[in-house]
This record gives sequence, C-alpha cells and structure tokens, in this order.
Amino acid sequence: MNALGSAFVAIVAATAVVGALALVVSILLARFDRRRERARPRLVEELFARLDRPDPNWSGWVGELSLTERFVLRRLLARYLRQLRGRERDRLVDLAEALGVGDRAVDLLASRTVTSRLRGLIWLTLLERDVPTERLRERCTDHPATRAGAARLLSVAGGPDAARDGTSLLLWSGEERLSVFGLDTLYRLNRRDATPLLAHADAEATWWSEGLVVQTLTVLAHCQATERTDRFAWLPALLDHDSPQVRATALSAFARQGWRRELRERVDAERALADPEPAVRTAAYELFGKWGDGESVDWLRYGVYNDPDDRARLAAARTLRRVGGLESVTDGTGQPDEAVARTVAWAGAERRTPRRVATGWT
Amino acid sequence: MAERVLVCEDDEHVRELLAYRLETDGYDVVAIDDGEDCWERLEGADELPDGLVLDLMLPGLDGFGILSRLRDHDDLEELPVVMVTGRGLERDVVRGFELGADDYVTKPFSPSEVSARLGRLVR
Repeated sequence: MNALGSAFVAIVAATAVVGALALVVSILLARFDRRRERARPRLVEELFARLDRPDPNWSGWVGELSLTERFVLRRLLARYLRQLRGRERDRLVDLAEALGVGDRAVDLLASRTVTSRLRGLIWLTLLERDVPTERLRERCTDHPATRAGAARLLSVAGGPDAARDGTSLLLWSGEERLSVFGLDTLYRLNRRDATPLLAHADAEATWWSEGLVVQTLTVLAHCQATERTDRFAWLPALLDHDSPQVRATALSAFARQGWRRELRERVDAERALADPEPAVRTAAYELFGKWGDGESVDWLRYGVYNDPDDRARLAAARTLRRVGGLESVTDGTGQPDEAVARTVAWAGAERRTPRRVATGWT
Repeated sequence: MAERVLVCEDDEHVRELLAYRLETDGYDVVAIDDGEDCWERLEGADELPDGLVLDLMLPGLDGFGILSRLRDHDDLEELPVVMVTGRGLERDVVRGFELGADDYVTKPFSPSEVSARLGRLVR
C-alpha cells in the first residue's frame, strides 16, 4: 500500500476511534443527566420539607446523599440563592455550608487557574461569605475578572472598608477598562457614597487610560457624594480633555454636583455650548436640565435656537420641555427659523419620556 | 376552605419556591409558566382564583399585558395581583401600579414576604 493509501487508512481509523469515543461519552453523559433528572424532584421535595423545620438537620441529610444527589443539590442551591433573600435564603446558605460548598470555594481561591478562582468567588458571593481582604489581594489581583469578582464579593459581604477595598481592586491597573460586571460593581460600591471613587480619581486619574476615565465618570454621575469639594479638584480639568467622550462624561459627572457653587462656577457654559462635538453639547444640555435654574434654562433656550446639529438641538428642546421652558421658545421673541420650529414641534409632540441621547457612555 | 392562588412564573425554580411557600401557608396553588395560558385560565374560569402572583417577563403574553386585560375585564378587574419580578426600575414599578397591580415585589425576593403581602389582600 502506498503512502497515500496508508494515510487514508490512518485518517479513517482515527475518525472511527474519535467517533466511537464521542458516542461512548455522549451515552455516559446522557445516563448521568437522566440520573440527575430523576433525583431532582425527590431532592426538591425533601429540601422544602426541611426548610421550615426548627432543626432541618442539613448535615445529617447531606451525609446520606450520593455524589449525584449532592451535585444536583449544589445546582439547585446555585439557582435558588440567586433568586432569594430573607429567611429561606439564610436556611439555604446553611445547607450550602453543610454541603461543604463554602470551604471548597475558599480552597478554589488558591487555584492557579482563573476559572477555578472565579468559580470560588461566585460561590463565596452567593453565600455572602466574609473572606479577609488580604487573601483576596493575594489571590485575585492578577486578572481583571478575578479582581472584579473579588470586588463584588466585598460589596456583598465585606465590612466597613469594603467599598474602599473593592474600588481599589477594580481600579488596580489604571489601564484596563472594566467589564460590564466590573462597572456595575464599581457603581454598587460607590452609589451611596462615592468617597472611595473620588479618592482614587483624585490621586490617580491623570494616569488612567481614557476608557477607564470615561467609565469612572459615568459611574460618578450616578453616585451620591457628600465629600468636601476639593476632592473634585481633578474634575474641571477634564472639561478641556482632548477626547470628546471624556469632556462629555465629565459634564455628566458635574450634573449631580450642581449644589456645590464652587463646582458650578467651574463649568464654562459658553465654552461647552461652543464645543465642536455634538455629543459634548448634548451632555451640556443634560447638565443644564438637571440643574434647572433660570440661568440653565436660558442656556437651553440658546441651544435650541443656535445649535447647528439637529440631534443636539432636539436634545436641548427635549430637556427644555422637561424643565417646562419649551413654550417660551416661540413666545414673543420673533419667529424662530424653520429648523428650530420643527425641532420645537417635535419635542412638544413626544408623548413618552424621550430616550436619553448617548453622551459618552462606553 | 383554602384560598386559591394562581402563580404565573416561567422560571421553574422561582415557581417551585413560590408554590411551596404559599401551599405551606395554607393556599391552594395552581402554578403555570406561560402568560397566554394564564390569561386563558383566568378568562375561562368557572371559579376565579382569590389572588394572582404574577411575573412580568413571561413567554407569550407578559405581565403588563395580563394586568391590562384584567383591569379591562368586568369579572376580573377586582382580582388581587402581586407582581414578583426581576424588573425593579422605578418606571417598571410605577407602570405596574398604574396598570392595577396591588403590590410589587422585586427579585431577589423573600417567599415569606410574598405570602404575607398576598395574605393582606386576600384574607
């Protein structure tokens, strides 16, 4: 048999072996699945029967279960714990601990692989287990996903320094943008008090990547902050940043701080409304809408009359309508031109809350 | 006689938890997983349930759709409804109440709390 023939035979043989292996594995997995499916209703019934007992004796029950049944029970707990709070949840956490899930999750933090550590962090978060911050720093700072997972764990289970430590983990590299999960965690850690975020930005924002700056500003725009005003000293400079996204999100971050006279005065309205980028001007209109005072309404009116971009002009008109000043645009000041009139008519006719025009959201 | 409650929730685990808690608290529970099915049962029922626990995001007809229909229906408009949903934005809550929900619980939720809120309406 020549070489080509031998190669052909070898390929056919290899395909047959792989095919046979795949078939065997499929059959075995199907059997395991069926076994798990059969176990599930029985386990659910027993779990619910024990849930309200004064002493559910989880350890005793778990000791009687097979490996398959424990597997099914862990799967059930992973689903239930995501959906529940309150008394039933506390009971199920006890069951999870009796299953050894918590201890196993702590052990997984020592793994070299990111996926194993993430699995551990997920379980620890579901169980709201308190893990020392030093341990998390030791094991979770080498990868953005584990940093975000550790920060989320701190947000649910951490002590008084959880917000500070969690924010520190998330902003660790200063270079990488946060994932959606990381961004949400940053918000959860800072929403009631943005002190940790402000402290980091004050110290480090100059060195951050543009993407991270935009994300931080976006979160800051939605957080409460009662810190002293000098903590915001880094913010006004961003209004002159090269990137229009940064300028736009910096304006959004100012919106919530309108009660701070010193910060309001740092926003140069004329300059913002003369910005070449429509997204920046739109962010300025949103800002004035949030502030809503007489001067802000005047700026909005100016934007409706003068903005050269249709969408930005519409954003100004919508915002003006929200604060109750749209009627004044065609009121005793002469006939507006056709584009302005069209914009005002459109904004006035909209029945539902207008969709927010994107202003640098990443 | 036990009050009858219809639970409409497409997530199997949540449906099980709600059914378990409500049955343990003395309700006679029928649990279903589809919005259209829920509406058909309500519209065609010889005997109406005493209360409805309703998810928002359902296959077929969603929770808001069911609520609208309930409040436009002469025989069903008074049916007590507790919404249990993962959609907790202010606008969703407001819309739920505007459409006629009697109570609104967001996930993650406490089954005991849902039962207590339903009990206040039904018992």
